[in-house]
Amino acid sequence: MIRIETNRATCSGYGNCVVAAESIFDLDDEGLVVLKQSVVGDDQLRAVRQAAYDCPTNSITVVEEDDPGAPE
Amino acid sequence: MRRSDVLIAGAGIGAVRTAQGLRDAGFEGTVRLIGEERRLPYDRPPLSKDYLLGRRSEQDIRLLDTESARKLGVDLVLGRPLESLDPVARRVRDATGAQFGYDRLVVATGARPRRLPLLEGRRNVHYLRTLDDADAMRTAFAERPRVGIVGAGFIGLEIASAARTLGCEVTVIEGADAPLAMVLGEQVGRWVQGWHEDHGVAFHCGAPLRVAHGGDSVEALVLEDGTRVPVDVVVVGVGVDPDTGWLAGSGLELHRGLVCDAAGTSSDPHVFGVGDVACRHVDGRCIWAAHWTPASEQAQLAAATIAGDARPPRSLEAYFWSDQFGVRLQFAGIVEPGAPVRVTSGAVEDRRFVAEFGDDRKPTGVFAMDLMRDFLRARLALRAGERAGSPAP
Repeated sequence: MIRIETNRATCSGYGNCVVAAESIFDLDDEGLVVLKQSVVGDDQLRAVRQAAYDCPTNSITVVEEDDPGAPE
Repeated sequence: MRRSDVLIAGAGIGAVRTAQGLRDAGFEGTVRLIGEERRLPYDRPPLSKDYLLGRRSEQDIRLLDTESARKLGVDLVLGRPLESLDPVARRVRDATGAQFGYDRLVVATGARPRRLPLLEGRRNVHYLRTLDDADAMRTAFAERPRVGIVGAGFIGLEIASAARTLGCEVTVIEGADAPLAMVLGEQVGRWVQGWHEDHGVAFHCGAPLRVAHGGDSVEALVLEDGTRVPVDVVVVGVGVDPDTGWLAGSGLELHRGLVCDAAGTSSDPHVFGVGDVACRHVDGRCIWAAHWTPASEQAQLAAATIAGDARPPRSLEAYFWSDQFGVRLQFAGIVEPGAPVRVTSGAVEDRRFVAEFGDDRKPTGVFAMDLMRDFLRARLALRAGERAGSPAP
């Protein structure tokens, strides 16, 4: 499982996360990030990472859970 | 000679995202990143915006520090401008003569500001590429000088916004008839010009720079129509060119930049191009999208390919943003020369609007000031149209 954390204090509404993973991220009326789902399956890892890497303000954190083999 | 499985040339967003993408894809080989500057890798977009305004520090814009590089298993080699590449021997040489071997090379050396010969050797002329450049500019702006900005592209306008916000008297000169005309057409350019004029920035458009008066320092910029703009500081933002000089003798195919296919592979299968340094030749078109988001995407794609986890590119969309006088400007897509523009939500007078380019049933590009959510909807629709309108990969 993957847990997603977002920081609305630093989010600036670029929307690159929504472009990367429309089923997980959206922008609200203020133009800031909201999560449609905060926990997603491992099959979404690539899309979630893309969203985090494409965020110009580094406002998305990806936490991989129950995966002892993951690098630190 | 030091050797690594992957050698990443560059230290900007494309370089760092490549390193991260390699590890994400499970790549276990050695990775080395060579940067030209002595600074730890940092993010460039804030240099002309919040960093210049003093609202974000070097630490705030850092992409990788010693600790995160160690955790990622990346050997950081900094302060080494590269001089040449020998793709047959698979090695690069830096300015000190040191050589670095590789199995795969990722070229991510970015782009450099185009210089104006007319202003060479003058002391008070600034260009912006590095943190050092931004620091020098910030120091110059602290005395609230009269700033003359040559070139009304995004960099020039962002610096105009920062300089004005810091209390400088700012004049922008542009050879074309409107700011941003080359990128977004004259109509959008005039809207953005209006926003700047609301904040006290002066514009001279349609008359190129003819001569710079003064001695060691420029004292006045004189335009082709005779206009004389007295200045204390000059900033030049007249475009950038891919930093391919060090690849000149390599035999790799160069065009606008390092020629790559849609996945980022150059004419040498061991060499990849990521970000502003590379152009993509796809379906007979040359695409050079020198922006942050494509660099991040291309890096992740190249990293996956190197790690043996190849995937199709998501989109060749150009997307970029700019912050000027506290308002976000965004663009996605392409603008055909002379394409009609129409406002689809908000109002230009409020400086909050979305505008689309091209045929109203099949727009090719979308621009917005503020209205982030409406812009995003239009951007997503554009991407959906691109997918529907192009043959399946």
